[in-house]
Amino acid sequence: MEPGKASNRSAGKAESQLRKGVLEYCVLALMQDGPRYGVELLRELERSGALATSQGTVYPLLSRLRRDELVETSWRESTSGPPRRYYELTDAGRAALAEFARIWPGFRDAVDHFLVPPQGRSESTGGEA
Amino acid sequence: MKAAENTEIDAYLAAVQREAAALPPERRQELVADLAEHIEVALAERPDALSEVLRELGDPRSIAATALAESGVGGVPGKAPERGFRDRIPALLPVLLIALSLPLGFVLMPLGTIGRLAALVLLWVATCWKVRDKAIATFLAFVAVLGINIAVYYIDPPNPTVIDVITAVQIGLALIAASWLWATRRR
Repeated sequence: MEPGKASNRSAGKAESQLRKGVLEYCVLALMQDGPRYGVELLRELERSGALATSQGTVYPLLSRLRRDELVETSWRESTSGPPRRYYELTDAGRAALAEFARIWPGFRDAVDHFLVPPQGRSESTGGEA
Repeated sequence: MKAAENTEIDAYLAAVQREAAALPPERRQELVADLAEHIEVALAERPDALSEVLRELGDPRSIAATALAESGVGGVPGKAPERGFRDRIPALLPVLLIALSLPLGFVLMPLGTIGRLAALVLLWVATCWKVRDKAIATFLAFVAVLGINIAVYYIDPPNPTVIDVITAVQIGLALIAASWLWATRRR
């Protein structure tokens, strides 16, 4: 086994874990400007690149958000095709999203702090060479 | 919708149903209904794109696995499993019993026997050792000690000094077993 392959795999695992952790907040954030229906939500997620796995895996997540009363759903007629089920933030969902938005910058900066050398990357690599 | 499309959708949903067999029925129905709904809406927006829609939805197995993880059936990370009484047996208890049951037996014969039996049961019921370490301790403290007893009974040693030495060896074996267990216990 080549070491490159192994480190790729663990980086991939880290990425999928990270995405899994923040996915539900991305989903909640997508609803902050108003109700969205499932297909629409998944299309946006896919487009943004926030989705680690296939679209179908978001439905169990939506189901949990519904059970936890972070979102609620309602049916709306559509001009084309079947009625759509719209997902909408509840007050609890809005609060959870606000809380995440509050801690995220600190978390992101803390991780950046470890990844980027204090003097700045370009300077230290220049000095080393 | 064409019949062939319906068959393909049914096959896909049946696969999800099958892979999600471990989910509570209510959750499973909900998942299948959500996916069926998605397919219907996506097809209304993109007719003739069924295989693409299904490909984007993804592998029924990974969808089911996600559903299991979300519902807690598949083990949610961070949520520790229930601790049974077997996990709560303190490691010190069988260790002390093994170390002390031989000397206790000299004080009062039945005490030693009861202590040894209790130690053996606790050791094998407890979850804080691997089977390998349990087997090593059992061999040292029980099989070897008992074997020596049986051997002594048949050989019938000539003088008390030999018996003392043999007893010391047995206590030593029990102490080694106890130390081994103490060192290998799961913390």
